Amino acid sequence: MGAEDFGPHFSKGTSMSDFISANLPYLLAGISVGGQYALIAIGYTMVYGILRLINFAHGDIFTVAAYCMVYMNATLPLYLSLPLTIILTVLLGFSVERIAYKPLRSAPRMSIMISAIGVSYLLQNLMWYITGGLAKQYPTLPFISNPVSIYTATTKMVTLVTPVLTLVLVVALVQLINHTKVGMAMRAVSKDFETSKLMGIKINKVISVTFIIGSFLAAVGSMLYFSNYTAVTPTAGAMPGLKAFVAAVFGGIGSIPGAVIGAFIIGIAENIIKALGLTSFSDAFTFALLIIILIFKPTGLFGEPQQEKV
Amino acid sequence: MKTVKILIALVLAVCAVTVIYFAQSAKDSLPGLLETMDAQQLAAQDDKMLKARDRVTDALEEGDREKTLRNLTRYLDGFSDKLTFSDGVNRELMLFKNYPVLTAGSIFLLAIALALVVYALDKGKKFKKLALPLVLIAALYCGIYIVENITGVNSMLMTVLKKGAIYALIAVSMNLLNGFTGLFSLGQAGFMLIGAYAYAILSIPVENRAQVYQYYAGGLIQFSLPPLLSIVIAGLAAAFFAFLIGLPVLRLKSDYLAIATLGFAEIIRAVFQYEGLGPITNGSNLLRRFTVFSTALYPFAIAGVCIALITLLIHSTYGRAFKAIRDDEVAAEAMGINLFAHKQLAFVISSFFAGVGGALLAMYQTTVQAAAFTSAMTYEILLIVVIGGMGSISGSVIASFLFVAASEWWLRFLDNETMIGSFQVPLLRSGFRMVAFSAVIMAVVLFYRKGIMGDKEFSLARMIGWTRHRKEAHDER
Amino acid sequence: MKKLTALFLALMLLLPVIALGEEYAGEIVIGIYEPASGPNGAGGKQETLGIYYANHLAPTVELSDGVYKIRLEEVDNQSSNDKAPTAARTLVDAGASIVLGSYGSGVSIAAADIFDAAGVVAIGISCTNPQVTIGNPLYYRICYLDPFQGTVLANFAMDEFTAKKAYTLAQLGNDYDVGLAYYFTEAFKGKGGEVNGETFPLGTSDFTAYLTSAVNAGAEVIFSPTSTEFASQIITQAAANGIKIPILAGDTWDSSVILDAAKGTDMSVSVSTFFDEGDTSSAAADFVKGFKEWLNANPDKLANNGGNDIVAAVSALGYDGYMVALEALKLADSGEREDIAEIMADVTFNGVTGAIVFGENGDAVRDQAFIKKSNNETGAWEFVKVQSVSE
Repeated sequence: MGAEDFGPHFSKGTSMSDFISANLPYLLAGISVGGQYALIAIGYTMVYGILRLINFAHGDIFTVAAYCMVYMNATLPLYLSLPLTIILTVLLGFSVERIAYKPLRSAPRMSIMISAIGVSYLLQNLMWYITGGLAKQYPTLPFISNPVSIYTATTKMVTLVTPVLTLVLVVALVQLINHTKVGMAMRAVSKDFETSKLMGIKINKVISVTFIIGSFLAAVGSMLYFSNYTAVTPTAGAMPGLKAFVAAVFGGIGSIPGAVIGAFIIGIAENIIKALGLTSFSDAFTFALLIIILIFKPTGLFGEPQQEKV
Repeated sequence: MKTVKILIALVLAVCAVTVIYFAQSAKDSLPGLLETMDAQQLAAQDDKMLKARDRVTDALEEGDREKTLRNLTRYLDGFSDKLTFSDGVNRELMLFKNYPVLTAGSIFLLAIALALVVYALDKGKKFKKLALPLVLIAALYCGIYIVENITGVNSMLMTVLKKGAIYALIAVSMNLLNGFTGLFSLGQAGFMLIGAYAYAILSIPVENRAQVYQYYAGGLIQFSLPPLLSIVIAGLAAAFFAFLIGLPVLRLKSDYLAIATLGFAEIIRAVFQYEGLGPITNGSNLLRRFTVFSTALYPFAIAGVCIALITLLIHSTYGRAFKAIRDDEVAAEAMGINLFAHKQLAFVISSFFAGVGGALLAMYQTTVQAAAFTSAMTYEILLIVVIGGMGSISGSVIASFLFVAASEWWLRFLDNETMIGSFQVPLLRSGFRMVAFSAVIMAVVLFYRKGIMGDKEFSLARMIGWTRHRKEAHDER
Repeated sequence: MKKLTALFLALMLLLPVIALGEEYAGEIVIGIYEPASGPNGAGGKQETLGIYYANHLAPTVELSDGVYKIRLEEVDNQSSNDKAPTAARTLVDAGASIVLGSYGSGVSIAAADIFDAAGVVAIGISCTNPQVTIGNPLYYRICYLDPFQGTVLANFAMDEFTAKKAYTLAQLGNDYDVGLAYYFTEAFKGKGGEVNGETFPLGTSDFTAYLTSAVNAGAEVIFSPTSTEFASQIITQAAANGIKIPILAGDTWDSSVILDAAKGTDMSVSVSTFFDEGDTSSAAADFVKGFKEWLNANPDKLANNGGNDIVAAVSALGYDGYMVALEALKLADSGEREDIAEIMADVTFNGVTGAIVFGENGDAVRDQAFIKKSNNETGAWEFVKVQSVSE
């Protein structure tokens, strides 16, 4: 297989409509996967904003949600399996925080991060054990799995649902953070951990709520993601998880709109790279983007500059 | 008193040299022995016997000792009634079967003799600092050699020891960054990949290249370098990449640094898999048929030297500067330590040794493929460092051996469905090993945060002191 | 009470001894080196089932000094090249006289040195990459090779679909995928066709971009010799995106996973394979009937086969592989590794997948492949033709 086989595949058409019909599928795939990254990225960005912790296990919680759905859908009707999946995922996120992160609150930051890596390792091995390491087929969800045509391209309904649902959830979340008491507490904690403690904010409760919201969004994201890409494996969430984290950094860590915009940019850019025929670099590109943004604008697109205290 | 000790040492040395002489003379005795045992030339008449005997001599000519011994035992057992054994023959056979062990034992005796001389001349510091460690190291290497000759080069024990030694080097190199300099880097797998590839690409013999690079017409490189040189170049290649990567990345703080180095490792992996580089890297396909080591002493020797170098570095002024940076960057800068230069130095040196470790890993695996060097590999090494104790070299070494042995060997029974009588032990089936293993790691991370050694080093003097102290305390009571 | 427990435990320990009985002259271990997890896990399990079925039919072997019981020792190589050395080592230490496997060429190549050093003969069952046996004197193989299979499929693409433009999609770093795609490309170009090729990294789940590239490149046929894990994704995503280019693949896709994915869609999926379930020769028909009964009798085995009783070609090959191993034991008249190594090249066997004779490099001489097409209404394979290279 020589290098000459890997020419660009896009813009083969001569007229405008040809160009669009040739490249629309790339764009659609990019928007859809971008929305799903966004839902995961919010979990990262909120946790990081409050605990300064890269929650490496977040991608695995996303995968566990998919497995919950696979197993419960085999025996239960959809109206039960759907909410149960969300509840179980939220419970998992909550308990991971309580068991693996809370005891280390006063430990150095590196220790908590190592604990997060440990949790990720444990969850992956556990899923491997339970499923026997084989790929499971994600169930077909009504409506969002239906095919739909847009212009000249055919795709699944989920491609259209994802960006809409993502935006709705984000608006709701921003409302929650800006206009409720617990939201205010979250903002306070992420601004200054110690002071808000002194002000009587129940830190542990706020952190738990953060993890619950993050896990909830991961569960929803997992339903959308796996409806599109139906094979579930123990490591299926690792790469989307990392990319979502990159999206969060790209948008400015701690900023929810930033994470969403970052996720869409990464989703679309990744598909453009594939369209250019540079497929072996589609993952690497995401990381290159991350490093560039870290070097030139460490606070990301929308992040607030942070002062490192002595 | 002094003369007695030196006399004893002399006697020991003479014994050792004699044994070595006899052992070495037995090395080439086998063909003659075979002739002597088959005095009546029965093999010439018996096809089966001749075949069995030819297998022994063939294996001997190939230089495969394990196979030779296996075939020899079968030959001796199978045709013992047709062979004549005299006392002399039996002794020679024993010598042939055990000469490596005898040689190793004698070298150990020589080391003891040397230690005794040093002890006789100077009881104090020199003995503790020099002679005792020397004897221990000699003992370790002799022990490995003996075990290898008893269990065979490819036994599970040796396989685990080899991988453990290689992982020890890599873990120590990571500890230099994470534990001693306080830089949270997650790029180790990337540098190992560079080392492994550089080694493999440079050391594949020219005649094997056409086969390895089958999709790329034999590849671009049409020469091969000797293994040791290739290993050094592998380390230098990793160090060079680290230098380039370090320029932008090392200005980042803690977790940003972690994620950026992780990203670089992923980019390196993608680059090495790129089809366009195929004539050099063989694309995403396996690299194989390069020179590999045949004895566990090889990785032990190289890893040992490298770890010793790292230890020396840590005890130098540079090492103290690293620790100062770890403990408080601002204070270190105020003391006049050039932060960036020192971070860059630690990063480049750590990557050099990670590259050497990668080259050794390639030799251990006998094949290399970029796809295996994932972030999961870095996490594994990070966990080893944590289990051993951040900032403890001996901790990392001990943890490496424990980690490899537990995950690839001791816990394997957890993967097998087991029946005790007619009772099926619950939970045991494929995959349980890794679950149990990761649960143990979580427990260490959460409840035993300092790891095995904390930030202390394994020290004989302290251990002796500790037992003495215990004994005194006991006596007082 | 304590004494009773002790007595009970002692009896328990004796149980296996009694169960073994004295009718056997001894025990010979055959190692199964197959993936039970990872991307090739599903195929590996089906191949292993074939081996166990053969063992169920022929649990012993008769040598000149008595009847030996065969014990199967299984190890999971996790479809991963870096886990291969210790997995292979486990089999060597377990005293395997001969080793069967693996599904997937990369793990076989990675383990070849270990088997070679220990003097163990390995029989490759469905690893089709030429590198498995070249330079590894103790590695034999009973299936056909990629250069052959690639050519067969290129011929088929040109004959059946009159295709002039093809698109290949392979997994990065997978020797099976990359090798087969390479030989397909060579053959297809050799016949005047045009080929665009791409590779995707492990862990990819979004194939829409690749499929779109195939459409944009004007491909008339997609050749994707991937493992089954990606296969079902490729098919479902192609169907969801309304891409109707026929898909061609190699032996890995001969699996019920593919049928499930293609069922109810309008995709055209064709595969080349070693064995056809509808083969009416008596050996093959007997095998299919017996294997189905054996599968259906045990829900665990049925689950390992993918939840149905469709006979995968690799199960038939697994069966033949075990039988070839028994032939080797008989010919060597010994369970010793060296004895087996000496006679292995002369072993022949008339299996359910055809006659097996070892030729150059220890590869079985094979000159034809079965082409099958998925029937998307019934969810079963339809036999298309027997294709050979010389057409």
